[in-house]
Amino acid sequence: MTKKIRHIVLFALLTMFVVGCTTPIDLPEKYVGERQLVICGLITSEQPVRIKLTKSVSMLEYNGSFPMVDGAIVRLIVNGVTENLVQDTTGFYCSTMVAHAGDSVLVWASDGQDTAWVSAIMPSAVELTIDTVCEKREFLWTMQYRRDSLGNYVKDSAGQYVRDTMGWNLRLYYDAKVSFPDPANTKDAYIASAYHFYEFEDDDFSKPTDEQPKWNTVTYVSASNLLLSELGYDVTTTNFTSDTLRDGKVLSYTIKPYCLIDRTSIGLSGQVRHAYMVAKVYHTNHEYYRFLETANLSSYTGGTGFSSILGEPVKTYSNINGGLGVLGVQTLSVDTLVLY
Amino acid sequence: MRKLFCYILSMYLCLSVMTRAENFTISGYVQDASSKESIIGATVVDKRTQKGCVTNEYGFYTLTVEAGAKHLSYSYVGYDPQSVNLVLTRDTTINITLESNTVLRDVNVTASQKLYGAEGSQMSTIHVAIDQIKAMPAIGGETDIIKSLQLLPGVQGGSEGSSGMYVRGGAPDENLLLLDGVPIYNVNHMFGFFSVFNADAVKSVTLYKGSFPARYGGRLSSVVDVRTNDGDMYNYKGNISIGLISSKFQVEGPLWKGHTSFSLSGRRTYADLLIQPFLKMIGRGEQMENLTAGYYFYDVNAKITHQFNNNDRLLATFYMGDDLIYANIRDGVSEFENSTFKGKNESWFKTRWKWGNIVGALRYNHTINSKMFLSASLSYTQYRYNMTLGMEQKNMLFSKNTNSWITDEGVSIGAGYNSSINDVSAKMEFDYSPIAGQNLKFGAGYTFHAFRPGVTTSQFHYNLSENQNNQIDTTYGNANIFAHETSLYAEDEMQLGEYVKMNVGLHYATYTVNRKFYHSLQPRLSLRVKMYEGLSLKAGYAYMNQYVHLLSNNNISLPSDLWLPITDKVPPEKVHQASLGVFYDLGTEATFSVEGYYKHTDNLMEYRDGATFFGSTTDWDDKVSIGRGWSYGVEFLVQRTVGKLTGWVAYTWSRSLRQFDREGHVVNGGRVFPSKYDREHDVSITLSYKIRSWVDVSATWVYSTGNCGTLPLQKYAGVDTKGNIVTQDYISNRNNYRYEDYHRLDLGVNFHYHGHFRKLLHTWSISAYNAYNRMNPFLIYQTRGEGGHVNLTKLTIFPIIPSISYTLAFDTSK
Repeated sequence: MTKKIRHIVLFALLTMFVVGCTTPIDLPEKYVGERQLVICGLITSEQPVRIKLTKSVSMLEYNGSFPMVDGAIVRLIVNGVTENLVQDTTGFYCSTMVAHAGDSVLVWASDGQDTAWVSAIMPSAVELTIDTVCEKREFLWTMQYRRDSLGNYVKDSAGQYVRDTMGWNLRLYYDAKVSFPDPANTKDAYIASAYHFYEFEDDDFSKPTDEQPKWNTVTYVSASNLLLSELGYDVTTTNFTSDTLRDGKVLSYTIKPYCLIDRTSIGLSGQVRHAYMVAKVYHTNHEYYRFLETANLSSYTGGTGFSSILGEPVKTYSNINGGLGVLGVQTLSVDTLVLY
Repeated sequence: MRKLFCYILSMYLCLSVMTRAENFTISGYVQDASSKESIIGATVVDKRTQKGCVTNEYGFYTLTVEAGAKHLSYSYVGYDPQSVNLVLTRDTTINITLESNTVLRDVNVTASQKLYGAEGSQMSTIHVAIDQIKAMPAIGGETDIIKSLQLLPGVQGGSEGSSGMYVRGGAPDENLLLLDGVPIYNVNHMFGFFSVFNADAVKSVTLYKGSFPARYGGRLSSVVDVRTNDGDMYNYKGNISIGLISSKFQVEGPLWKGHTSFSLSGRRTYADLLIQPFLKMIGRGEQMENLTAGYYFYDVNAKITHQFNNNDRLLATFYMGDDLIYANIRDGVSEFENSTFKGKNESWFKTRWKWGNIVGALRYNHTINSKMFLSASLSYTQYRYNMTLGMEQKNMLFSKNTNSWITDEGVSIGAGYNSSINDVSAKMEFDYSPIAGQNLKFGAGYTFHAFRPGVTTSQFHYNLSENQNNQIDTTYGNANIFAHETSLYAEDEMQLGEYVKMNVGLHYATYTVNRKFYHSLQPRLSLRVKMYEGLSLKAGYAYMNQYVHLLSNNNISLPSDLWLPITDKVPPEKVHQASLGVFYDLGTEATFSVEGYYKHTDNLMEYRDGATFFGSTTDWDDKVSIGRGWSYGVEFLVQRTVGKLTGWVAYTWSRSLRQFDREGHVVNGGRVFPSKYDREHDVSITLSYKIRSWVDVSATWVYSTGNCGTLPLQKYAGVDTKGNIVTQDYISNRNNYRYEDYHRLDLGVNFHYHGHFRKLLHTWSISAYNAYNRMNPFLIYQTRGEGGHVNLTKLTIFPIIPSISYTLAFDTSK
C-alpha cells in the first residue's frame, strides 16, 4: 500500500512538470478581417479561358470548401477585346476566347460588394527541340514454354520442352535532351513535362478474326509537370530553385526515362510499331511561379509558424489586386522525338 | 565619423593634460574580513576631494590623487565602512578588509549603487546581488540567474519558462555570457528552462545592456559577467540542498589557510530516477523486457585561488555540465518451438543525446606597482553535442540437437552525430591609474576558434547467413572551420572636475575565417554629469560588431543549435546604440533611473520564409536573409537595496522592428514587421521582505505584452499546375498576431533555524510559481475539429507549480 501511495505521489509530481495544459482559444474579431474576393485561373494557349471565383473564409470557419460567387460580373479583356464570362454549372466563369503568346490579358471581377482584377501578358512560345543524347537498342525474341490445358509443360518427341515464339520485342535505352532559348526580358519560369508514346499492334487472340489489326496507343509519363526555374534544375527531383535571369541563353535539361520501351515489362502482347517521346514546355508568368514556389514552401513547414514550431512561416504569393488568389498564364510549346 | 573620432580624441588629450599634477597612487585589495573573499565593486573615495574608484573584478583598486592629507573611505553595501587617514607623500599600498554589517547582514542587498547609480559614469548596467537572486521564488525551487535577469528593465525572456534573453530587442545569440571572464556558448539546461549558472557557485552578476566598456566585445546586445566564489581562505562552509527537481551542494574552505582556498559545487536533476518505476510498469504492459528512459542534467563548478603574496594571485576555474537524454528498449517477442528448433526474435533500440559545456581558465593576477595591475589568463571553452542511435534485431534459433543457440539472422544499424565549438584564448589586461582622476584599462586578447559544424557516422551490419554478410561504415560531415580572433582595447575612466565623469574607450577587433580578414574599430563612450548630489544625467554610445551566429530555432532551445562564423554571404552584424538617462539616488537605500535608448542594427539575420532548422549546417547561409532592425524604448527602474524590504519595480516601453528588403533577401515583401519578441509594455515587481530573523517572504509579479506570431487569418483557393483548386493560407504580414498578454505571480517563503548546532543552519523554502494559475501561452497551434473546422489551441506548460526545498548550511566560523 505504501509503495502504491509513493508511486501515485511520484506520478502526480512528475505529471505536474511534464504535462502541459491545452486550452482552445478564440480568434479576436480584429484578426479575422473581411472576406475577400478570390480569383483563380490558369490560362493556357491551348484552351478557352476559365476562371474560378470564390470568397476567402476565416480560418476558424473553414470546413474544406470555399463559397462560390454566383452572379458576379467577370470580364476578360484580351488585347482590348472584352468578353463577359458566363458561369457554367460547375461554378467556373468561362470564355470562348483563347489567349495566345504575346496577348495582353486582364481579368476583372465584381460580386457587387468587392472588386478584384489581375493582368498578365501571355508568355511567348519557346523554340523547343528534343533530341537523344545516347541511345542503345536491343531487339529480343520473346518466347515462352508451351503448357497444356492442365498447366503442365509440353514436351516434344525428343523429350525437349516445346517453346512458342511470341514475337520480337524492343528495348531502347536513351537519354533525351530538351533545350530552348530563354526569350524573355523578365524572370521566367517553365513547367515541363515529357511523355513516352508507344504504338503497338493489338494482336489480342480473343478479338474477332474478321477485324483488322489496330494500332493502339499507350502513354507512359516519365517526367510530368516539373516546375523549372531558370538555373540548374534537376528534373529527377521536384525541388524549386532560385530564379535567375538567363535571357537569350539556351536552357536545357536531360531526361533519363526510368521506363524502357520493353513490351513484356508493360504486359503487352502486341508488337511495338512506333515509339515517340513528346516534350511539352509551358512558358509561365513569373507571378504564377512565385505562387507555386511559396505554396510549396508553405506545405513544407506545415503552413504557418503556429502549426510547425520548427519552420518559418510563408506568405503565399498572390497577384490579384483587391483580392486574393492567383492568375497563371502560360504558353505551350511541344516537340516530338521519334524513338522508333 | 572620422571627424567626430578626431574631435573626441583631441578633447580627451586636452582634458588629460589639464588634469595632470603631482600625484601619488593608493592601491590594494578590498576583501571580506572573515573569508578574505575579494569584494567586487567596493567603493574607495577620498572624502576631501570626492575622488574615488571602485574595485575591479578581482577586488583590486588603484586610486591616484594629489599629494597631501587624505581621508579614505572604503565601503560596500552590506559591510561596515572603513576609514583610513593618511598623509600621502608616496605611492602606498593599503589592503582593506571589511566586516560584514551586523545590522544589514540578514537583509538582502541588491546593488552596488555607487558603481552604477548616480555616482558612476557607467549606464545601462545593473549589478544584481546573488543573495537577492537566491531569495526569489522560482520554478521547482531551482533558482536561476538568467531568469532573474529577465526581470530587469530592457531584458525580456523568450517563451514561457525559457532562459533565453532578449536585451533591448536583440536576439539571444547577441548576448555575451561570461563565467569568470570566459564565454559560455550554450547557457541552457533542459531546453532552456534552466541556465548553466548554479547560484550557489556565483559571487556576483553584472549585466551590461548598452554603453559597453571597451574591454567587452564580440556581441551586440548585452554582456552578462558572472563571477564565481573564490572560496573562504580561513573557514570551511557550505550547504546541501534537496529540491523537487534537483539536489545540489556547495563547499568551500582553505586548502592552505590564508594562502589557498577552494570552492566546489555541483547539482543534478533526478526526474529520470523518479520516472523509472513508471517506465517499468509501462514496459511490462507492452511486453518489453527492458524499458529505461530519462533526462537529467548535472553541472560542477570548481575554483582554486592561491595567494602567493599581496601582489600575486593565481586563480583556476573549472566548469563542466551536461544534459543527457537516453532511452533503452529491449523486446523479447515471437518465440516459437518445434521438434528440432526453438526460436526467438529479439530487438533493442538505444539512443543517447548528450550536450554540454566545458570551461577552464587559469588566471594570474599581479600588482606590478601601485599604479598598475595585471591580469593574464589562459582559457578554454567548449560546447559539444553528441547524438547516438542504435538498433539491432536478431532472429535466434536454438538447436535442440546441439543444445545451443544459433544466431541465424541479424541486422544492426548505428548512427551518430557530433558537433562542437572549441575556443582557446589568451588575454592580458591592465589596470593603470597614471594621474589623479584617471583610471585606464587596456589589454589584448587572442582566441582560436575551432568550429566543428557536424559529423555524422553510420554503421550498417546485415547478417543473413555466413555467406551473406554486409557491413557498411561511413563517416561524413562538414569540414571543420577555424577562425582567429584578436582584440585590442583601451578605456579611460576620467573624473573631470567635481561634476563630470566619463569613460572613453576604443575596441579594435579582427576576425580571420576562410582566408578572409575582417576588422572593426568600435568607439565607446559613457558620460555622467552630476546635476547635484544624488542626481546625475548620463549618456552613452557604443558601436559593436559580432562575428558569430547561432543557428537556432526561435521557439525553443535545442541542443543541436549551432554556432557558426560569418561567411561571404552573411557579413558581421553591426549595431550602433545610443542611450540617455537620469539617475537619482533616493537617500542611501534606493535609486531611481530612467533610461532611453535607440539601437540600429545592420546585417541582421533572419530565417527566410519557409526555412526549417534541421539540417541547417549545410549551406545554412542560403536559408537566411540579411536586413536591418531598429529598437527603441524607455526603461524605468526603482530599486531599494538596503533594509527589510528590498527589491525593484521596473517598467519598459519598447519597440523592436525589422526590415528585409535587399535584393535576394526579401522577407515579408520587404515591409517593416515587428520582431518576434517585440513587446510594448513590460513590468516586473520583485520584492523580498524580512519579517523576522527566521522568516522572509518574496514575491515577483511580471506583466508583458504578448509575443508576436504569424497567423493565417483566412483560407482561400489557389490553383495548381494541373488546374486543380488547392487550399492556401492567407497571411497578411509576418508576426501579424499578438499572443495574449503574459502575467504571473510567484510567491516564496523561507524559514531558517539553527537547531541544536549553531554551526548548522536549516532552511525550508516553499514557493509557488504562477501562484494564481494564469494560463500563459507557450505555443498556439491549429487543430482540426468536427466538420473539418479549424480550431486554435493554446499550450500552457507551466500552470501553478508549488515546490519545496530544504537546505542545510554549515559554517565553521560560527
